Amino acid sequence: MTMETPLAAYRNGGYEVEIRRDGTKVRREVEPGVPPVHPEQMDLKVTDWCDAGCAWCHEKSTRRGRHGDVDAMLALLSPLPAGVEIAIGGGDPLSHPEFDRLVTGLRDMGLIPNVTVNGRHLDRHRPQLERLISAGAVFGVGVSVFGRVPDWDYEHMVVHMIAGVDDPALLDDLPSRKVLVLGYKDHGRGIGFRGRHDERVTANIARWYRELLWLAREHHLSFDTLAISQLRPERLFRSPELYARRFMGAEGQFSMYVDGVMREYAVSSYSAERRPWTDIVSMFQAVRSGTPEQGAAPVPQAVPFGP
Amino acid sequence: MNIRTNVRDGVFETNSSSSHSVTVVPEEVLDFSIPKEDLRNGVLVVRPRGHGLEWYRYHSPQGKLAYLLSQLAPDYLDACPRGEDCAAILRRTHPKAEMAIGAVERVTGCRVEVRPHSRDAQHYLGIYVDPDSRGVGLEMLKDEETLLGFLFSPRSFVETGDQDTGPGDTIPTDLGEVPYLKGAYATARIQGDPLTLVVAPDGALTVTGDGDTVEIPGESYGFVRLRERLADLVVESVEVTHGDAGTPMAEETAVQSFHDFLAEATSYDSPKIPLAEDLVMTGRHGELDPWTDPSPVTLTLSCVVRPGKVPGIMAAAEAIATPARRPA
Repeated sequence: MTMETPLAAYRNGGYEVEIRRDGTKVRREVEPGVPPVHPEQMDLKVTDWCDAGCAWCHEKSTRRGRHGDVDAMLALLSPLPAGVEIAIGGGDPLSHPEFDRLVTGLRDMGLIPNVTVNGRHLDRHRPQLERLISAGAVFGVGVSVFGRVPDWDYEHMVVHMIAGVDDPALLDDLPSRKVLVLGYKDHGRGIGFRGRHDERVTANIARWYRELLWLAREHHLSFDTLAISQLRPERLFRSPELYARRFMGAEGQFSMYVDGVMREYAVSSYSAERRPWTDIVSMFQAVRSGTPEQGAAPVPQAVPFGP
Repeated sequence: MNIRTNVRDGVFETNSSSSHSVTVVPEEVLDFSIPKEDLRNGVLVVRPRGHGLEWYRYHSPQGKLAYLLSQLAPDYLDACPRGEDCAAILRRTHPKAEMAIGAVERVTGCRVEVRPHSRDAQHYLGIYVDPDSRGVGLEMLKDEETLLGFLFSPRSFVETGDQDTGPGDTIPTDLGEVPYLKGAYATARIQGDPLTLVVAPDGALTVTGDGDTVEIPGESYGFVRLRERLADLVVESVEVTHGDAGTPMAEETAVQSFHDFLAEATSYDSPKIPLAEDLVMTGRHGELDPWTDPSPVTLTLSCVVRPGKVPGIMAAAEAIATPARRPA
């Protein structure tokens, strides 16, 4: 059997990391106790502009939003070694007039650019995305569901759905999809939306909690940290050991958030505490020092029990 | 030294608000074979019934829980008003029932209702448990981990019988009526990868999967030896061919041939074979008269294997086949 050449492999402190061509990431702790030097992945907000107007948007993006400076973002990220993943978001990131220059610049540095678009914008941006994918400048594409699951057969597309907002029945009778389940963010416009529709949001989260049982057998699911605390996917696993192998670490242990518009950084996009950016390694160490150690799972919330 | 390894499976990091913190791979999760509609409604109805006087199988999590509850509190359940939810009182009066129902509710997020079978139901026997059978299986209520592993495993089921009669050709289950086969049990279909097993009249086994084929000679008892590795598959269809196979075979003849084969193969102490609950049985025969010469049939088992498990089965088949290929 021949092993496929990985897309990237690097050493990061006490860890060896390999990114495979299907997106699989394997992290091995080869020197226990030696922390990572830089993030393995970064959420990079490149614009505040968006015309989707989602009532729960935690970024509060609007049509008046500004774009980030591409040269400044490329300069900030230039010390990162090849193989680090950059998850580009917004706002509507593909509306950034220099999006192509940003992703080709990141790729020239050996970084792995991925992007999230709103399903409402997919038709608008699909030709540009397909061109950049063909050119090897974009890899994973997350598509936030907006009323329907996108009909796009790109192998590295991940459907993003928010517990508390989206209807899991949208996945009924569909062939297996890669689905990232996001927890509900009580941040930005998410606070007001929850205030106005608390009962609806809570019932929807409870529904996701129950329906994970069939979704897990028919679709390929991932969860973010908030979704872990709200939906407790560890209950789905055959053993705690299997879950531990799949748990990639608490927010901020191997990841961080950078706001390229405001030139700030934080543990995640919904962190209340944000600081002005400096250099990437110092920023990551600051983020890491303020977060729990790897293996400390998010604190579970109460079981959202009930029909 | 154990190197701690973490794996994100099959996705790039696309999340621009936090990160992919856990990926779920279907073969690593428990088998929650609970209908989608029940999960959507948020209520799981458990219907205890009596046992010890008829043959019956429980495959579903609700069915297995119903069995355990009927073992735990048969007299109480028999006294419960038929059709009414008696979960609350059961939980208050039996700590093990509280543990079991609470664990299922926590894992599924659904409310559990316990409604004993109505007296009008077909086959209603009351919540009678034969004295010789009382308490059988209660070890599954030892703790939550044991209980959940039992309830949510596709490989566990409860079969109740009657000591005075044997099973018929079929057996009622909570998945519906299925053929009663000594060496097999019925289960829900799974998603996965195809694998074909062909058993020749001389017992030779041909295994085809993952673009590869392994042939095991008859004297190696390939099927019997490979069965330890077959828990991760479900047989979806069986074709029985006899002779030069020109004419469709009567279904009962095909079933009988398969039954005979399984009875022989299960004379060894090995796990039962999972068959799809809607198993398709077909057969064809040629000039030979299957009634006068019933033994030389070829069985073709079309299976679905849990994702990622085919290479292990092929490797096991290869290991069985290889010694026989060595020169003396």
